[in-house]
Parts: sequence; structure tokens; C-alpha cells
Amino acid sequence: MEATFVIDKGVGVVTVTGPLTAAGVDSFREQFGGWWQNASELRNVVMDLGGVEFLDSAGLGALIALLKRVTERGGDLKIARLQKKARMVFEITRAYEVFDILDSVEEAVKACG
Amino acid sequence: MKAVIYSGTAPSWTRSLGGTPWLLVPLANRPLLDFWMEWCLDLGVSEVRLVLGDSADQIEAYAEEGRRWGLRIGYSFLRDDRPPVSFLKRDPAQWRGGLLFLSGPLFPRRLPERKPGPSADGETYGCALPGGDCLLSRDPAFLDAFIAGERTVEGTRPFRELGIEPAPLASIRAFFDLNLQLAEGEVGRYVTPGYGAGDGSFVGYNVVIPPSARVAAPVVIGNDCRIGALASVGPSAVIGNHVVIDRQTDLRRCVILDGTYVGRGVELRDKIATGRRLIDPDDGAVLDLEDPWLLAEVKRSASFRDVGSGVAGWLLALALLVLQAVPFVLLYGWLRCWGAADYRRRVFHGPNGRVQSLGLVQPSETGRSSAGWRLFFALGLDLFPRLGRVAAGRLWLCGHEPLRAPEDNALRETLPAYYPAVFSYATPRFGESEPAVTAVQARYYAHRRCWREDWRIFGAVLVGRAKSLLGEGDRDA
Repeated sequence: MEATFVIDKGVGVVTVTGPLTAAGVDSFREQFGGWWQNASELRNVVMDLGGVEFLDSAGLGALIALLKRVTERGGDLKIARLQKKARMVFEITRAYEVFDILDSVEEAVKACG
Repeated sequence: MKAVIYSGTAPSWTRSLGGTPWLLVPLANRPLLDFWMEWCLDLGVSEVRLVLGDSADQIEAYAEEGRRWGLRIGYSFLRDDRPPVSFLKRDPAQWRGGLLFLSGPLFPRRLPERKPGPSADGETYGCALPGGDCLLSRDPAFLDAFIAGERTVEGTRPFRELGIEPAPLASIRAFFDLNLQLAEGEVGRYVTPGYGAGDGSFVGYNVVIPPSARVAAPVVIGNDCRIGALASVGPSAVIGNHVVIDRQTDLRRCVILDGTYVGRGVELRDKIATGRRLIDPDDGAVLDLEDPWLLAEVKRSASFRDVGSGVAGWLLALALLVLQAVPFVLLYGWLRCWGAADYRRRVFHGPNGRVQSLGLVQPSETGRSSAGWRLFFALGLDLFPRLGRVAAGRLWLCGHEPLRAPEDNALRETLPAYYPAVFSYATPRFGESEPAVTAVQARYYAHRRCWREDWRIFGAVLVGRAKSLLGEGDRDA
């Protein structure tokens, strides 16, 4: 699992590639935590999951933890480009009730504005 | 009148259901074969011939001789490269009394209005659908021409006139839709799966539904199910047998197949779940979940037969260990001193899907023909280390020859049941069997397993080993 962090129009965009599972979730949370502390002006985050072909409950837990951190700062976390198998996990766990899920990163960035 | 059902070729969509043969795919908790047998009874069919191919053992284990339907079922095989109709050419005369022929995965869907069966001297009914052909005829001249390849089902009367409309099961979507259509009312046209409450819900035996759970008709629930508190099941849900639905779960427009655990708070809509596998019928996407708290396979408790067999085997193994302990120590020590035998460990597939290493006492090249090894072999002392595994509960006494890992992985995956044991069909001999022979023996035992068969194996091993001492039979030493 690899993650890149950029800022686009004042919105943090986190692009994740590879399976978001228990095996890589700790390092992802650490990377996000470091970046989030440094980017203290950021409020909103878009998670680009177009490269995540699969996530398990640990990955889902990490996303919820991230959402909590973002909302504590008064912002919002949106999910973009959710793939088929990851979407199935979102459906059965009702995670779609917690996250805003959009089709593209541009759409998600715009929604944050 | 006779029926011939060809089940040889497995449609690709059944792979996502774990390789269930299409004749056994569950529709409203009844295997498809059940519906065909039900129609055969309506038509007055007395004899059914199942022409098998892939997963033949599963079909045979379910249908047996057809007693459950009051029919006589026989089995035949046809090579994959032969068309289904070529089976009829083997003995065309026997079909002249009337034939119902099915060559692919179709469902005999009953129309709302029941109609009388075909007349005795009859018309010919047929249909050609994406899944296969279906033909019903009592016309000897037509049947002769059909078998000879001079006629096809084209131009025959539609089954609709008999109140039946064969529906193709050509995709996972068709399978899902048919299940929901049955649950939403059509199931009442057949022998119903469980107790019908009159509101469109059918519930099987031994189902626990707490007062706080909500079951909304139409719904079909199988036998031995548990539904958790505050769970919501239905409308339009088919729940298989041995299914556990945890608390606060929401299941609508879904099919849960046998032996599935649905975790707490999980929501399933427009999905098929089987074990830890989730299937989207829209595009056939398959997701194998790693999290057992979301979806998991329900492990069935051991059957009475397994428990009885295990206890009897354990006691017998203990007795044999006591009897063999002193001879083993003396003879093995002697053989080792003379270099006639040595002890090796090999990796085998154990029970419960685990791999384990087993100790084998093997003769050396020079020791094979020695009197000491012949006596050691005849007394079954080479099995002593394996008997210890039985006493430790890690092997069965009688069953399958333990399959090697990884050489026999493919065979292991195809076996419907696997009971690695000390005594097997291969034990009277020494040395490894041909892979093809091992495969046939393993499949045969998986199908024939019973106490009598276990005793037969045990007796055959004792007699075979004794004969080897006298120089008779196949001792391969």
C-alpha cells in the first residue's frame, strides 16, 4: 500500500494505491498523522481510493479514524473513485452512511469548497 | 416414460458459488434437481438417468437411487467432447416409450395455471434455450429422428401448453432473479421449502427468531437457522440452511446460501452471500472477505457417524499401540542396526485443512526382501507412528490414504470430504500408488464412507499384510 499527499485548491488529496488492509494500515495512519500535523491550515480531505482494489475492516477502521481527526478540526473527509470490491465492503458495513462518496477527485474537491 | 438429464458441463457462473454443480444450485432452498424430479413425477416418469460429468460425486451423493422422490435413478457418464444427445444413441430403442430430455441448466418454471399433462400418444414439446435443450415426447417416430439427428426441437409445441416454461439459468443474475421470484410468490407452485405462514413466508425446521427480530414476507428461511436480536430479514430474502444472522443485521433482496454467518450490523441488499464470499449478481463481481466478523463460513458440527467412528478408531488405535509397542521397538531396532529400514518424515494434508508431517518407516533397497522387513510389514509395525497420530486425534483410523502436500493439492481440492487415515485402500500394499489410482480411491471412499466400509478396509489390510508374509498377494517388497 502506498499513499501520496498533495494539496489541491486548499483541499488535501490523499491518493492510496494497493490494498488497504490490516497489513498496511498502521503505516498509512502514521503517514497521514505526520502530514496532517504539518498541514495545520487544512480542513478538508479527499481520499482518492481509485487505486484501492480491496479494503478490509481494518482499512475501513482507518478511514473512520481519519474522518474523526478531520472533523475534529471542523472539516470533512470525502471519498472519491471507490472501486467495485471496496464499494461492496462499504455497502455491507453501511459505511456509505458515514462518508460522502463521489465519482471523481475533481467532484470531491469541488464539494469540499 | 423415462427421463435423461445431462449435467456434464458446468456453466462458468457456478464457479463463483464454489463449484456447486448446476443440478444442485439452490433455488428457494431446494436444489434445482428437486424441481426436475417433481416435474418427472407429475409426468409419470418412472426411471431417470442422470448423465454426469463434473462433480458427479456430489450429485450422486444427493440423489442416491432416487428413493426420496419414489423414482428410480441411474447414472451414466459421457465424455466432455461428446454432445449430450449422443448418450441417447447408445440404445435408441429404450426411449421409444416416451422421453423427457434435458441437456443444460434450465429451470422447469410452473405457470400460474396448472394444465393437464401431455396425452399418452402424444405431441412433442421442446425448447432450445441458451443453457440447453429440453424435449418431451411420446412419439416414437419423432424420437428416432431426434436421436438420429434428423430432427431438432425446432417446430415442436411449446411447453407453455403444459403449464411449464423452462427458464434458462445462464448467469449468476438469472440465478439470483429466479431465487427472488420464487421467494416473492412462485414458490407456492411447488412443494414448499418449510412451513408456510400464509403471508408468503416459508420457514424451515429448527429456526430461532427472537421477538425483537423482524421477518418481513415474502421470505424463505431454511432449516437450522439462528437470527439475532433486532435483525431485519426480508422482504424478498432467501436464507439457506445452517445460516447464522447476527444482531442488527439488515437483509433485503438477497440470497444467503447454506452455511453462512452474517456478522453483526451487516447490511446486504441485492447480493448473494455464500460462506465468506460476497457476490454482486449485477456483474458477477466476487469479493472474498478476510474479516470473519462480517461474513464467514459456519462450520457444521461433526455428524454422529463421524463422532462414533472417531471414538471407535481412537480406542482401536490405543489397543493396537499397546500390542505393537514391544514388537515395534525390538524389530525396528533390529532393522535399523542392519540398515534394513529407516525413519523419514513427509508432509501430508491432515484433517481440518491443515498440513502435517507424518513419520514413515521405509525399507532400504537391500532390506526390502529381508525376512525381518517382511515380518515387520506383515505385523503392520510400519504403521506404528501413524497409530500414534490417531491416538493424538490427528488422523482417522480408517479412511483416505493421506494426500501429499503439495503434490496432491489439486486432488485434495476436488474431494468433497477428506478423512486422512492409517488404514486405507492403499495400505495393504507398500509404496506409493499411481496418482490416477490414488484419485479414484480417494473419490470412491469420499462417496462410500460408512462404518461397514471402514471395517472392510481394516479387514483387507490385516489379510493383505498376513498374505504378504506367506509370499502371497501383492506385497511389493
